[in-house]
This record gives sequence, structure tokens and C-alpha cells, in this order.
Amino acid sequence: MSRILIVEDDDHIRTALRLMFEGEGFVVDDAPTGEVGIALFNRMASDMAIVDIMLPGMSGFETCLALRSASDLPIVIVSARDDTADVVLGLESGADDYVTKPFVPEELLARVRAHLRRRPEKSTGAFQLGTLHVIPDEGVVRQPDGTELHLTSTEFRLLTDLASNNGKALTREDLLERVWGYDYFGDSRLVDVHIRRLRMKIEPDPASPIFLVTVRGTGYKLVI
Amino acid sequence: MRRRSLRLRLLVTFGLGALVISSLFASLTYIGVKHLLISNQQQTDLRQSYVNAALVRSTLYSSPTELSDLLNSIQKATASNVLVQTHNEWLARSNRASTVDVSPTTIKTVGAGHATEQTLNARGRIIFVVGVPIPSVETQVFEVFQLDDLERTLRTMALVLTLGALFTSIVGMSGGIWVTRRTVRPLEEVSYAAALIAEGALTTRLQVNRADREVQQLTESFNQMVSQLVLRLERDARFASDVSHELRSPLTTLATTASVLQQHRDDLTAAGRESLDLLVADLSIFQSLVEDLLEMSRSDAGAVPLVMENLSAIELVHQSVRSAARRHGIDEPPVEIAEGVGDPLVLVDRRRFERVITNLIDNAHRYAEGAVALRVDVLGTQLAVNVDDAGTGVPRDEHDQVFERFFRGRAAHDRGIARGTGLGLALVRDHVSAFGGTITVTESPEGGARFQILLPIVKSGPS
Amino acid sequence: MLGAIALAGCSLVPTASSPQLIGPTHVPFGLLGKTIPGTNNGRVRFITQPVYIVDATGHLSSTSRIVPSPPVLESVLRQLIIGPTKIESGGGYTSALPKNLIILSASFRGGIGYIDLATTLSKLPRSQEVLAVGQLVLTAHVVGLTLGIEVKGVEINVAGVVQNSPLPGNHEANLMTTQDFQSLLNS
Repeated sequence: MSRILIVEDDDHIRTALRLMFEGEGFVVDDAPTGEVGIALFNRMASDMAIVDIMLPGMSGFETCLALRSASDLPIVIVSARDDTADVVLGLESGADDYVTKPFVPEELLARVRAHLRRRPEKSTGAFQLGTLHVIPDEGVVRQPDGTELHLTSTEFRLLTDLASNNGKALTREDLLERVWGYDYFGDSRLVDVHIRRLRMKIEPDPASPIFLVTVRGTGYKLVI
Repeated sequence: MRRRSLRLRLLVTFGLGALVISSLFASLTYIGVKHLLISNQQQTDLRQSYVNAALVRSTLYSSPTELSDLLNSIQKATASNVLVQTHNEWLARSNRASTVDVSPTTIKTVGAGHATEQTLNARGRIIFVVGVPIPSVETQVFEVFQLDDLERTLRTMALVLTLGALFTSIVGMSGGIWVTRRTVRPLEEVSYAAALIAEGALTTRLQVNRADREVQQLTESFNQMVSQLVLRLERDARFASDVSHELRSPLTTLATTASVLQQHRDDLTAAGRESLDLLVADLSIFQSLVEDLLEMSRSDAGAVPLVMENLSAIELVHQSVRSAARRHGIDEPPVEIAEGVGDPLVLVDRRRFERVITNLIDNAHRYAEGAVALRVDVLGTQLAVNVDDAGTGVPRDEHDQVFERFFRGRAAHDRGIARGTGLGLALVRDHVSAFGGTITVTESPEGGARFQILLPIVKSGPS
Repeated sequence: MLGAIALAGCSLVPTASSPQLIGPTHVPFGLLGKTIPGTNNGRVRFITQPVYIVDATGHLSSTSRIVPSPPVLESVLRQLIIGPTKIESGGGYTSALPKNLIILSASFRGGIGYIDLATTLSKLPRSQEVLAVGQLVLTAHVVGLTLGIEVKGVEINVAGVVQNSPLPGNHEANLMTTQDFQSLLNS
């Protein structure tokens, strides 16, 4: 059974979420602060985390960063506002997705489920990206010196999805559907920030990308 | 009451005032000085006459033969003419003297033993004639003074004073203009700024750093007042936003716990289940209302700026329809693109546009059995997106009102189910206006309502 | 306005239609007094007394002198000796009488004018002597006229010696009259 970490300072919301996820068969570890959350994660090795941005003490962003540095588990941040600045910051901090309060609980459930589906559906063969060796089946990106490049599952899925499109551009909406599995109109900012994060990791010069190229008016494509 | 221009009044006051005062001053000066000059001249002349008369007397007494010489030397020295008469006969006179200058009246009066003086006009020139009797030598001495110089002096003075008065008036008027500019112009600026602000240009402020303290105070106070008012306005606008904001957490809890209850549905009694259904339904409305309120008040306060992009209208419409349908769990209404539309671009905020379509489709779903179709067409330089339904339509007298906040038309009352938040169409209009477009409601081909959005086309893409 | 007047050229100094009296107290130097200050003299009257001098053409010509009235022959004749005035000189008038001539006395008695000179005139050039004597005689006549005296003739004495008439002609007359000098008058 999947283990979910819920970091939320509002008691009521935290309790209600715990009840809901437990009712769906998840094991829930909940924490009122970031510090407790990280401590819990280290002990319990959760499969997924839901983190509220507004936390006392250690902020949601910092919690995200800490969790991300320890693992590439899917993280969904919960925000009271959907101001671009907050969302982007959250995504940059390592989150894979975000929801805004008040959210529809069923939606949150659906997203969580989507993120826990780790492996991409389509099998793609290994390919070379400049000096990087990408092996989708193993979920691994090997660097020339043999070490592995850490990508989150979302980032990886994004990369392989673009690769599987044979250099053709995909729209943000397409990517949202294929990578995040959303069957409704999600937020294209998710795609934009993840592309940016990917570029930071795989491009020799992130400011002038040669692999993950923007196609004006359409979306993105991967040039192998 | 006819209001007169302050500017005009100031100018007139200054101009006229300067004119009047300077004229008065000039006149008084002239009168005063003239009086002084004339009396001085007369005094001097009289004194000279007396001296000359005494000289005549002593000359007659000591050496009468030298009388003529005396008179001529007097003339040479003082340019006045002296005539001496004795017993009605002219005894002697200086060379240029003319006996005509001495009137018979003068001769008679002086002959009678009275000293006289007279200013008169003789042959176009002003002269001053003094007559002194000298009984001891039985003679009468007449001295004739030319007042040409005096005349000239007075004339010059009059001219100078007049010019001075004129100059002062001009200066006064200039002063008036200057004063007007310094005082009336700030007033005009204030009224202009106030008008702008009333129209909605809330960032309008008066320029500060004025030279005059009073004007500076005025502009500072004005600016402060406007800032305060704007703050109040923003605060008021944010109130709804703040309220909605505060409701987020409790709503989250409500929604989540309602989900939990749904999970345990089977543990409830029939009444419990029915209650839960009602709870969930109204909670959903509550949630939508809060979201709508938030969106509305944010757009009111201008809190969230639009992210405008040039997007393909057709692609946008397709995606919006897809998203709207999935969000509300309804079937996607078909999207019909008219012939020759091509691929026009529109400048919109993506998420708000999607909101607009969603709201319209939702509206059609609520009040008219769903949207029949979304028809896209090009009208001149504008893109038309029509959301058509096959319902009862919107009555003509409600065509404008239907976009008002919380407006409940007859259709709503008639149906009595699935009430909306009341803000849906208002939001649609706000967003469409923000895009520079318009929305109207007419009749659809199916006889129901057609909500038509018109947006300016940025550029037609390739067809 | 002022300017208009100034420019129009009307007179600015006010004129009067008739002479204004000046109060006696305002007239200084005792001008209105009955006597000349510093003297005991009563009122002195002056007249214009005709006299004869020589004009530029060498004729006897009449001019005038202001003298107190009634004229004193002696004083008037002394005026002759003083000579022409500046203006007269400017006009070419001269006096034939020598400047150093002294008149001891001159007066009228019984219609005859007696003039006593200190020195004789006969030493003068004849032409000048004639004019000089002529001046004396004619002047004496008109003085007498002023005085209301019918002058029968004029006699000139030098130290008691009666001078003969310098006129050509052979008359012993020592009484000279105006007629004698008619020819010398300037017409």
C-alpha cells in the first residue's frame, strides 16, 4: 500500500485529509510542521508527499527542497493562492504538481493516484542526449563519468515522452495529459517549470537549449 | 447665478487697479509739482522784479542816464524785459521789450500805486508781468518774464507721468497675468485632475514641488486625499477577496470531510444519505461561489494582472470546451468553425478565456438543456464565438441585465433547480472586456439563446 | 487725460484775465515808500530831456537823457560832456565837447542862458568848435523849453570873457540862438 506524507498545519484539514486517504486505502503519515514532516519521511520513506506552502517555521518551499534533495518522490504542494510567483516557486523547489485551496477532494485523489503510477506506459529504448545516456526502462540518466543524474519521476516521464515523439513538438496540453495524466485542462505552468528544471539538469547551457527546444506557437520538442 | 471667471476678475482688477492707481498718482504728482513749480517761478520772478525796481530807483537817483544800459544788462543777464514809465510816458525800456505786453489795466493799476502781477497769454506765448510803482521817483517799473521754459517743463512732466502711468498699468496687467498663472492655474489643474480621477484614472496625482507654499500645500493635500481614497477603494475591493480567502481553509475541511462521509455512505441511514447528498450539493455551490467571488474581487481590485498572449482562437476554443465538459461532467458540445475563418489569433489571457467558455457552457447547461454548439465565425476584423442553446432564450428586456451580478432572470425562477452562483455571466463580461471585446445575447438559430463574444483579431494565421 | 493735454499743446500754466494786486507788505526794499531810503529827498521826478550830440555824419542830432525834473541846465550840460551812451556810440554818435571841459556854472537869467566854462573852446579846430558850441546852445534852448522859459539866446563866458560865435559870418553877436546852428542840424 502506498504511503502518503501529509504536511499541513491546519488541524482540521489535516485530519480530514487523513480520513479521506485512509478511507481510500492509503497509509497516511501526517505532520503539522515541515520539520516534523521531514523527520517522519526519513523514518517512514513515504511514497508521496502533500505539502502545504504556508507552514509555520520551516516554510513549505524549504520542506519541498529538503524532501526533494533526499528523494525523487512525487510532491504535490497545496497553496492558498494560485499566484504565479508562488506556484512557480513551489514547482522550482521540486514539487511535481500543485493544487489550490479549496480543492475538490476527488481531484486531489485522482492526482495523487496519477503521480503514483511510476513507470511510463510506453516503452522507449535507451537514447543518447549529448554526453548523457538515458535509459527509460530503468528510469536512469547516466552521466559520462558514470554517475547518475537525479531526475524526479515527473521530469523523467516528461523527457521520455518528448523523446518518444521522434523530434516532433508536443503542446503543453498534450504533455499535461500524457505526463501528468490529467484528463482535464490542467495548468500549463506545470509544464513550463518542469521544462525549465529539466533544462537546468541536462542542457550544457540552460539559457540556450539545444535538446529541449521551445517551438513557438506550439510547445516543446526534444532534439536528439 | 452667472459665474464669472476668476482669472478675468484678477486680470481686470490688476490691470484696472494699476491703471487707476497710477493715474491717480500721476495726476496728484502733476498737480502738486505744477503748483510748486509755478509758485516757485512766481516767487523768483517777483523777487527779481523787486530787486530790479530797486536798481532802477537807485540808478535814477544816482545816474539816470545809465538807466537804459541797466535795463539792457538786466535783459542780457536774465532774459526778462523791463520797462520804466513815468507819468504815462515810457522813460526807458530794454531792447527787446514790447510795450504791448503791458496792458492798460496794469499800467493804470500800477500807476495808482499798487504792485501787480499777471500771467497772461500774449501773442501765443505765456508771460508773467509784474508791475511795481516807485512813488519816490514817480516811476512805474514793469518786468515781463517769459514762461516758455516753465511751459516746457510742465509739458515734459505731464508726458513723463502719462508714460509712467501707462507703463505701470502694463506692469500691473503683467503682474495680474503672473498672479493668475500662479493661483488660477493650480486650481484648474486640480479640477482637471479631479475629473480624471472621477473617470477612473486612479493613479492621477498632481505634480508636487511647487514654488508657492500654499499651492504646495494644496497639491500635497489633494494627492494625499486621493491616495487615501484609492486605498479605501482598494481595501473595499479586497474585502470580498479577503473574505473569500479566509473561507478557503474551512471550505477545504468541509469538502474533504464530505468526501470522507461519502466514503462511509453505506454506514448511513437513508435520511443520512439524503442529507449528505444535499450537503455535498450545496457545498459545491458554496465552493463555486467563493471561487467566483474571489475571481471577481481580484479582477475588481486589479490584483492579478492578465497574462495576455496571442493564441490560436480555434485551438483555444477546442481546449476550453474539452475542459469545461470534463470539469462539469457533461458531454462536449460540438465546435463548428465557419468556412473561410482560417486560423485567427486573438490576444487573451488563456485561463480567463477558458473560464469564459466554461461559464457560458455551464450557463447553457443550467438553464437550457446544455449548449447545442459553439460556432466560430469572423465578422469583419473581429472573431465571433457563439455559444448557442436550444432553450427558451433570454427575454429581450433582460438582454443587458442578464450580465449583472447576482441577477436572477425569469428563466431562473421558472426552472428552480441547479442555481448558479449568480456571478458567472458577470465574470464573463468582465473578462471579455479585459480582452478588449464585447459580449451580447441574441437568439440562436435553434430558437434559444445565443451568447456572442466578439474579440478583435490580432492577425490571421494561415488558413 | 494729462497726456492728451500735454500733447495737444494747450497752455499748462494758468492765465489770469486781469492783473492781481500784490499786497503792499509783500513789496520789499521800501519801494512803495515816499522817499528813497537813506535820503531825505522828497519825491523826485524824472523826465526825458532832449539834448544834442553829434551824429555820425557830423551833424548836430537830438537825443535824450533821463534827468530829474525840473532839469538843471548845469547837470544836463554836464551830461553832454560825459558823452554819448554805449548805444549812441555804437550808432556813431559822438560829442564834440572835450571830456575835460569843466562847466563852472550854467543858468538862465532873464530869458538868456549863461554858460561859464573854465577853459575856452576857441582852441579847438574850427569844425569841432562849431559843433561843440552848437551842442551847448541847442541843448540850452531845449532845456529852457522844458523849463518853460522863452530862451532868447545863449552866452558863453570864459573867465568873464564873452566868447564869440564860432560860426562863419561876421557877427559879433555873443548871443547865440538855435537859428544860428540850423544848418548844422541833421535833418
